[in-house]
Amino acid sequence: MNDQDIVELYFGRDEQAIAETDKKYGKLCMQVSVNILENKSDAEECVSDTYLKTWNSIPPTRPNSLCAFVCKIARNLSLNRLRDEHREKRNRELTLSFEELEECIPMPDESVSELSYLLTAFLDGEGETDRVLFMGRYWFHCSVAQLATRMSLTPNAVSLRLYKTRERLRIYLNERGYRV
Amino acid sequence: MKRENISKAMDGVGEHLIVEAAEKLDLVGAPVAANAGKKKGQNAFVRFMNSGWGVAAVCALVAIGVMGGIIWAGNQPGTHQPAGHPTGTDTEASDALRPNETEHEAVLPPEDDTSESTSADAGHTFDVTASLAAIDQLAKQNVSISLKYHMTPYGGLPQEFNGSVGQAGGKHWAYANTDGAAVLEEEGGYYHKYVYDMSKFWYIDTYSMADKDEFDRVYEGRYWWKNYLDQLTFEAYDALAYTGSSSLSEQACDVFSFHGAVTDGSQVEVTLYVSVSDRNVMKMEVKIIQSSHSSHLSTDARQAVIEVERISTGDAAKGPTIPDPKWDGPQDDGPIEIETPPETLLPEEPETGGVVYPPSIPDVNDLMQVPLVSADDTTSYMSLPYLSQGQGGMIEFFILPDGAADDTELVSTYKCAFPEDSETNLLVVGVEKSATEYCILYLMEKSGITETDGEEARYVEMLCTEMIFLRDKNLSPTGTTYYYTLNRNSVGFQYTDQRRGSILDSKRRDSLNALLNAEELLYSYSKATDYKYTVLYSYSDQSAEEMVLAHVPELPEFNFEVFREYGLPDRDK
Repeated sequence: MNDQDIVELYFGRDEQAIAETDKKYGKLCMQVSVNILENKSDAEECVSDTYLKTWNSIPPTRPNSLCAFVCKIARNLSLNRLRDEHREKRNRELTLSFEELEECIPMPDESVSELSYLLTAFLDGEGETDRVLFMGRYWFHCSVAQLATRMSLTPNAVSLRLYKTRERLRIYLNERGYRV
Repeated sequence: MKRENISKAMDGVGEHLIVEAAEKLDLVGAPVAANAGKKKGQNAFVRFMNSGWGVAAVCALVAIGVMGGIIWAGNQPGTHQPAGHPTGTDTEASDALRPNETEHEAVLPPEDDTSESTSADAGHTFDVTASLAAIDQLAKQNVSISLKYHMTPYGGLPQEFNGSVGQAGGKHWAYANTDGAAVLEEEGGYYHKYVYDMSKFWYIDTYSMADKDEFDRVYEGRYWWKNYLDQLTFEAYDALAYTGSSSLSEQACDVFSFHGAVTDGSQVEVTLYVSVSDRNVMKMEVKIIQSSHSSHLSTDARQAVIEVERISTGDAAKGPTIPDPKWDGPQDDGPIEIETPPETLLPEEPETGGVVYPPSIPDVNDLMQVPLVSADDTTSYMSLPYLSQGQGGMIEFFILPDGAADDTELVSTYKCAFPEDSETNLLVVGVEKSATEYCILYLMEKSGITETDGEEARYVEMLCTEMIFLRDKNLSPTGTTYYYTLNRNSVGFQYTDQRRGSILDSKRRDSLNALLNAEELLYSYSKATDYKYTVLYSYSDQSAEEMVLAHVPELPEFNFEVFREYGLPDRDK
C-alpha cells in the first residue's frame, strides 16, 4: 500500500491505517527510537505513541511524506522521553553525534528554521553518500559502525567522510554569516 | 539549549533528505520486534548481559574466537566463500569481514528458540589447550592480531567497537564488569557506574541489584568467568607478546568481529569473524550452552561448538592474500602439533580456600587520579594521562595506607622527574606497595633523559638505567596495590590500561602475581619495540629489600641489576 492510500485510511478514520503504517514504517520508527533511547521497551512505547500521534494528526494534516512524518514524530517523542528522564548523557552515540554537530553548527537563536533551510540546501549540494551518512548520523543518530555496515564502508571511511562533511558545512555556514 | 536547537534545526531539514537516508540505510520496513509491546520477560538478554554472565560469555567467546581462529588460520588454506558474505572482488579486509546486511539486521531472536545450533556444519569441539598452542605457534610467525567486536543487540542496529590485542578475550570488559559488581554495594544496589564501556553496546543501567542473593550469585558467577578468562587471555597475551613489532601497535589492521544473540536466558550464540594479518578471514559460529543461569558454570557444563569458515580477503581468483613474507603459507601437513601449553600465569588461589576479597575496592576513576607535583613544586592533582609530552615536572607517588581518606596519612612517597621538552616517552606502568613497605616502579622509556637537575636527575637517571625483573610468584604482598599509568604513547596507554584492570582485579587473589605477569609481558613487549624496560625497586629498609631479593630466584637472560635505595624520598624534600 502506498503512502497516499495509507493517508486516505487515516482520513477515513480506518484503524487499518495504523497497521499499514506499522507494516511499512514500523522498523524505521523502531530504529529511530532505539538509536535514541537505547532501550527496546522504551522504544516500543515511543513507536506506539508515534502511531497514536499520527492518528491524531491525520487529519487535518496531510503529510507530503508519510515516511518523514512518522519518522519525525518518533524522533521527537524519543528525544523528549530521553530528556524527560534526564538520561541524555547516557546515550553515548547521541551525545557524540550532537557534540560533533556543535563543532560546526552555531548556536541557533530565533532562526532555527533558517538554519534548517541552510542545512537542507547544503545537503542537497552534497554527494549522495555523504548526504546519507550525514543524515544517518545526525538525524537518525546511527553509530559510525552502523553506518559503516549499512553503507558498505569501513568505519574509518565513515568517520572521515563525516568529518569532511562537517568541515564543509562549517565553511558553508560561515560564509553565510553563521559562525561557531 | 544549543543542543536542543540544533536538534530542532536538524528536525527541520527537508523531508526528502529523511526519506532518502531511511531508504539508503535500509531502515524502512516492518518492525523488527515480533513481540512489540510485550515488556515483561522480553529482556532475557538484557538480564543476561546485566548479570555479568552475558558479558563474561561474550568476553570468553571473543577469546575463544581469537584462539580458535588462529588454530584454523594456521591450518586452513583455500578460498571458500560462505554464502552471504562479501565476494572476492571486495579486496578490503575490513569489508570482507563485514557480514552481509541480513546477518546484521536487528532481528530479535525468538525467545523460544532452543535449537542446538544454527550451523549445519557445527560440531567441532573447541579445544582451549590446542588453541593456546596454536596461538603460540602462529605468534612466532610474526602474526599480529587486533580485534573488532561486533554485536547486534535486541531491537538495535549492529554495534561495533574496536580493540587491540590488549583487549583480546574481552578482558577489559570483564574486569570493568567485575569492578562494577564491587562498586555495587557502595551504591545502594544499583548497577550503573561501571558499565561505561559496556554501554557501547548495551544499555544496562536499569538493572537493579538490590537483592543481595542476586548480587552474590552474579558476583560469584563473574568470578568464575574471570578466572576462566584470565587463563585464556594471559596465555594469549604471552603468546602474542612475541609476535613482533606490530603486534600491539596500531599498525595491526586485522579485524575480529563478533555478532551474537541470545536465544533465551541460558544460551548464547555468536558469530565471530576473524582476520589474521590480512591473510585470512574466518567466520566462526560459537555456541556456549550454560547449564544453568543460576549457578556457577563448570567446565563440564560448558560446551563450545565452532564452525569455522574461511572467507578470502582478496580476489578469489588470486587466492588468499598473503602479504607477510614471513608467512609460510597455509600448512598442509595436518593439524598443528600441540605443544605443551605454557604454564599458566594464573596465581594459585589461597590454600585456605575461597577467594580473598579485599575489604574495599577503590574506584577506578580515583586510581587514575594520581597526585603530582608540578615543576614549581606546587602540589596538584591531575590525571596522569593528561601529562602530555613536553610537559615537564615531578611525578610524585603517594603511598597511602589502606583505607586512607587523604594524604594526611601519607606513609611514603616516591618521586621521579619528568624533564620538559624531552623526547622521552615515559610510561609508568605500576607502583606496588607491600605490607613491608617497598615500592616498585615500572617504567618504560623510549629515549634517554639527558638533562635534569639535582635530586630529580638522580632519580630519572636511575629509572632509566636500572633494570630489575622479578619473577617469583610466591611474593604475595598483602598491602594495597596502586597502579598508575602515565602515557605518552597511545599504544602504551592501551596496553597499560589493560594491565591496570587486571591488577586491580587481581587484588582478590594475589596482586603481585598479576603484576608480575604484566611485567613479563611488558618485558616481552619491550623486546618487540624500541622501548627500554625499566623497573625500579625502592625499599623502605634493608629487611624489605632482603625480602624482595629472596624472592628473585632467577634472573632473565638479560643483564639485571638490583638497584639499592633505602628509604623512600620524603615528600617535603
